[in-house]
Amino acid sequence: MTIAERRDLRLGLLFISPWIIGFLVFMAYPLAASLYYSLCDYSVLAEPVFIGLHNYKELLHDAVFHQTLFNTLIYSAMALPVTMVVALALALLLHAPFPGRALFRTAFFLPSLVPLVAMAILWKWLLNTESGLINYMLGLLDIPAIDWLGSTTWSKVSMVMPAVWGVGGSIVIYLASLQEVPVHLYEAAKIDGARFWRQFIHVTIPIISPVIYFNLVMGIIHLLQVFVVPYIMTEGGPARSTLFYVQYLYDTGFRYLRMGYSCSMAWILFVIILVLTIVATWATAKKIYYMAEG
Amino acid sequence: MASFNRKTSFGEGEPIFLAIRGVLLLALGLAFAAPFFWTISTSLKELSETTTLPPEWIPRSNVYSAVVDGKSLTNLEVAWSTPENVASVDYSLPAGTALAWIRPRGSQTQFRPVDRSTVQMAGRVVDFRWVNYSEAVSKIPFWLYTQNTLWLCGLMVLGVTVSSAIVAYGFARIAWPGRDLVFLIVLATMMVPFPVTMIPLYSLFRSMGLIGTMVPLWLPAFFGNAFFIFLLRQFFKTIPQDLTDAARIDGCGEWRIFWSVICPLATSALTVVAVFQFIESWNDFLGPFIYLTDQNQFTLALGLQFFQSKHGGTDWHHLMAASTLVTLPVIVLFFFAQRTFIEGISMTGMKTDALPNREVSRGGFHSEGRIWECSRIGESGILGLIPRMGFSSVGCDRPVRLWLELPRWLRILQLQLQARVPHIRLLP
Repeated sequence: MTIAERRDLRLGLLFISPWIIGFLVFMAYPLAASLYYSLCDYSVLAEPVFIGLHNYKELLHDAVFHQTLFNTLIYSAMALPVTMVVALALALLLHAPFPGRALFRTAFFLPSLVPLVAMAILWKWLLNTESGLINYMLGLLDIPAIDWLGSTTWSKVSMVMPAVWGVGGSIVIYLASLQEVPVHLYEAAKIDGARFWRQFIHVTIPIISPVIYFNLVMGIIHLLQVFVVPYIMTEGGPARSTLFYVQYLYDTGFRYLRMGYSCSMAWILFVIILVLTIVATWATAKKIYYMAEG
Repeated sequence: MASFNRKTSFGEGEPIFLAIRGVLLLALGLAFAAPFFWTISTSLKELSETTTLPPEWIPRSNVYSAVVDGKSLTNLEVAWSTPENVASVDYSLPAGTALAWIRPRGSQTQFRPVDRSTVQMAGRVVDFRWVNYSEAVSKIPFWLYTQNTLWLCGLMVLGVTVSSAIVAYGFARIAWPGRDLVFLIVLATMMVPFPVTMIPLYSLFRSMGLIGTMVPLWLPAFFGNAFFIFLLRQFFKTIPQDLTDAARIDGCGEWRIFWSVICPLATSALTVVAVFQFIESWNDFLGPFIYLTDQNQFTLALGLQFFQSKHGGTDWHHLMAASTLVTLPVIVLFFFAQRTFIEGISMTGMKTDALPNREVSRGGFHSEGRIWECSRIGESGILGLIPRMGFSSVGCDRPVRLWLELPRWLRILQLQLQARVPHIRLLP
């Protein structure tokens, strides 16, 4: 190593030292500790007692755990495609210039700024069976009132709605990627006689596919960790139909003080997220197109 | 290469597309905006008006007239059951009379009982009950929670912006061996779900006796935030190298370059980070929910949840008023930031030869008549700046591409494997 290189290494490490300390204390240590706690009987009030894989074995037979896992997967399976399609569709609508575009962009983005607690309260009110706005609108179409938050059939659908409303962040990312699509490709497609739909399929989608992939992975990560909105809207009810993974994890750890058990759930969640991310990555690998560097 | 010329773009000029787009945008725009209007509308209604059917968008309430001591009073509001705020019993009314309670509409005076049979509805008028807001605020220690939240947000914004900028500089502007590998670890930490580290962090702070204080919420902010390090690194990379080289030749140390060359040039990016951290801290629920135990330390998000679990399902007008008050600062901040962006960037966005000399000498840094990529980014304010910092191909280099292009690498790996072991198929 030359003197200059050594100087750069020293300086570089000096500049990133806040992150190194933060990483060790707030990420590396908690990860290791969490893995260890997941093998322990640990209540935070007393020292952890090593019990091997007992927590994981117990999870195999925990009916509530199975239900929360099922609920979370169903919810994510509903919300992921809907949010992705809505975000992409809105980004397409908002891409080309038209009078008032800035206003519309803002209108679609603003909901994502609303604090989750306020969002949950608002949707609880909108979905109110007797005097909610949604049921009133459905009433205008002659659809009888739906007990959104009180019936196990509809409660999960009710949780998808706020997720769709708050989709603004992904819209912005799609909009950025749409700007990257080279105009000459559309012109070439037009000359070849491709109209709206075929331009979309053969030009737009391939070029923005890395961003679609990015939103897919981020969607998986975020949706599986849904907590605040369902917790405030229903506290897991009715009949545990909206009791999601992280809420059960939270309850186990902080309400019943079974922190070890809670950690083992966290690790299972981590593994599920990793596996789904890898599956998504494998499944889309062939379809993702990258423009040449430059 | 990215094109900023948008004269031709996707679907342009097709009348059917334009018509469908217009209709869809209008319908969806209304659907997305409706919840906001509904919140504000409900927050301004009288409680009994919040549940009327069909629902009304503009808050109205009934106006009554009544006869008291033989005199006819108009423009009254009525309570049908004993209100909290009531005058002493009126003995002039015969015992056993069915009572109603009246007061002049809009006043805050005490209700007085009257003979119910004399009360008549006189009509409906538009009635914005701003008093709901002051009532909602008095139901929880709203100003205390606002102070707590602002204090917390301030600390976190300060901590995250300063530390992330310093760290990002180390990743963007100094070439040291192993840098890209370490940066990949930074990116990877974004994938770790919070629940995994939640419990060890709790017990760590508990062993330090910090549960029930705000320290666990803001302390980690002073050690950088992976996402913001990523954004700032991307931004710092777009600043021309010759600027810092010149400073280096003049004998500036790295810290001086960071502080007096890079930071002033990156104010828009730093503001984005600050604004987004503020919004994140303002909105955060799970953190305060875990660490704060004393009601006097609650943040607004936590206080709002506390309020709704106490009054949920009944006082919708107060709940909506409180929700509006908690949401409003975030939206106002966003609009202000959005405006400064457009101003700030339209200034730097000019070609240097078009800039008045004063500007050039004040800024002091320009490079061959072009002021790099970020100047054009600002066209749509924050909304344009944020994603382009992270996702534009402009700033993407090896570690970021590695991360964003995982599928491509897997594909290459697969092709290589297939070339060696032809009978194994990893992908469908």
